[in-house]
Amino acid sequence: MNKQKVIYTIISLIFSIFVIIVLSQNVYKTNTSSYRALTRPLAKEPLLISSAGQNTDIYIVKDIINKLMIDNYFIPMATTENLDDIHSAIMVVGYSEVGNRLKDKTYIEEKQRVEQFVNAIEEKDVFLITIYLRGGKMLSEETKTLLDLSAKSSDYVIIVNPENEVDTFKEMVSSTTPITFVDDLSEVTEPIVSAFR
Amino acid sequence: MSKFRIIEKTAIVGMTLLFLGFQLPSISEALWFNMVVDVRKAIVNGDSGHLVLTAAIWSIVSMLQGVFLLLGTTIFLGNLVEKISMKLGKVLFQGFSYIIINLVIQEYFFFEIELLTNILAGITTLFLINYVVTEKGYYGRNFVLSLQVFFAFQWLNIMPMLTFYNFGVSDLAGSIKIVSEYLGSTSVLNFIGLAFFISLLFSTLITTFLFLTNDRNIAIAKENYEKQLTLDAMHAKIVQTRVYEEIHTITHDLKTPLVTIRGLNSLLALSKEPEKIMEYTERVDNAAEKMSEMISGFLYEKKRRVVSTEEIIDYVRAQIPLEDESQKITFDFDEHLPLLYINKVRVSRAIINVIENAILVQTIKPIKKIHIRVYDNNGYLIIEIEDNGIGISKSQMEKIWEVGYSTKATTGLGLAFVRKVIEDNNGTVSMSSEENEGTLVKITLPNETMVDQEE
Repeated sequence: MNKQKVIYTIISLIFSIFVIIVLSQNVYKTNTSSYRALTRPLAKEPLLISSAGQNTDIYIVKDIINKLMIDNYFIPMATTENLDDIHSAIMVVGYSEVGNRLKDKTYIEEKQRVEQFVNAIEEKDVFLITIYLRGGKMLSEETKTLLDLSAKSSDYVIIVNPENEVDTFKEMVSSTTPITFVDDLSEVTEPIVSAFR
Repeated sequence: MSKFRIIEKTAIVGMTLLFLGFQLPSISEALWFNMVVDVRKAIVNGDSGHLVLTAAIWSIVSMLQGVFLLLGTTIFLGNLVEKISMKLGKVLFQGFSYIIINLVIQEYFFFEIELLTNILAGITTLFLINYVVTEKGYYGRNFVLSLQVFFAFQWLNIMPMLTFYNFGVSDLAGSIKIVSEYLGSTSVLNFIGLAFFISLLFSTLITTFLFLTNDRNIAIAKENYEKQLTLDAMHAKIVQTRVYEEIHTITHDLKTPLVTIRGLNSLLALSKEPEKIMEYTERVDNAAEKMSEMISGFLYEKKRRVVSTEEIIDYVRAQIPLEDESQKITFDFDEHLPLLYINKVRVSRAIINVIENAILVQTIKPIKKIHIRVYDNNGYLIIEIEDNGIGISKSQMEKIWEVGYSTKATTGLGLAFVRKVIEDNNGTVSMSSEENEGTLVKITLPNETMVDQEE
């Protein structure tokens, strides 16, 4: 085959695929809605913000909480000892290998910490909110495990952009736990506010 | 032995690149930590600029890893791939191996890679390498092409609009996109990603065409060089043929006195009268001297002596066929013609050559006419040979004096020899021609007093 033809074919193929992707954006956009919403604000201040997986999403949640002027403690690697005088906790789930390496921790160590921390929360009857911001497409195996650990002991779960994983998320929580799905990160503030006010 | 060394060498290069690909995240760990810190800063400060910068650094590091892995795979498998004759087979074999390596990294290494992007960029690069840069060992070209393709595709990973299609689902690419969503700058990242993707793809296109053009130019230059070599060889052959032709004519010239000697010798055998014997012996001696003179004339180009124009004319007339009825050769000589200081044999041969050309040339006229005019012009002897042949075109006129140039339809035969001989004897030769009308050759020679005889 003519070399120029090969180049044109490859480049036009890439462009065509790209154009199709861009044009089909709205067609494939999922439309999720709240499921078993929180009936009244149950979370009380002060609040402890921690991470399960050490990705950067915790900083987004911290920023939202600060903007909402909710009294909080920000401890990404919180342990049982940090729960004194705490009435509610937010666990931001998302595993990051780089984030853990930055703190010189392994996945196993992080998993153990989260497990112990969640158990302590249950024992101390602290109101636990699990937040997952990354949606169904970025749900890695490690994140799934950590989310499962946190969500099953949570009093409220907020999931952003679940895509096709809605059932997976529902299966992680007990039948009585309220769970809210939001399509967009900009909508996450509302369910957080509803838990406190 | 050397073949094994080459295989060993490529295997080592391939392994080194693969090792770099596997270890790049560990080597650049500090860079990754900085990127995480930058993402945090972007959230805290609400600064999209930090985010774009992080996206660029992430794209570069990911691109390098992808390039190392792909080139490592292709070089490592190089000799195995050479055994596959079909290009598509090569692409599939290399592509399959590359995908396996990516899956191994995904499964067993701590570092998350963008599988979809790496595969797409890898396959695109493999197609370009195998279908466009087909020469083996063009590692530099492969590197330049793969850098551009991988860099283009890495920008797709930071576009939030493509998350749905599994682009940019690894840890840091995901962080960048989530934060951009939080800061309300998804459109910025979408635009930057798209702009870089299209620009880099366009740059790949241009680079590929440059490589193609370069290849084509080299091929043309090679072809031209080979053509030139063939032409030179042909030219040398033609020159050799001309030399043989000259030798042939000289031999022919020498035959005339030889025939005379043989004839006189036969007469000598029959003669009994001493006067006749004396006369024949004298004529044999003259013929032998003439022969010796001719041989000397050809052997020693610079050997010259004072000769009368009449002597030259007689010599020339003796050599040309005048009895052909299809042509009419006319002569026109002035009465007082100068003495010349020339190499008689060579100059005569040159004049004969010109006349023979006029005889050989075709004509569209009913009768071939050749007019030879000899006259004195202010001490210069002018010899004009004019024919009514088909003439010479302007384009041929420029080449007619070149050594080896000849066309049987024109008076081109041996003209290089003519010019050389005339110029060697201080003369000039010129030619004018009109197509289908005829050709005029003008030879000018200075008289003996105008030439420095000490030369």
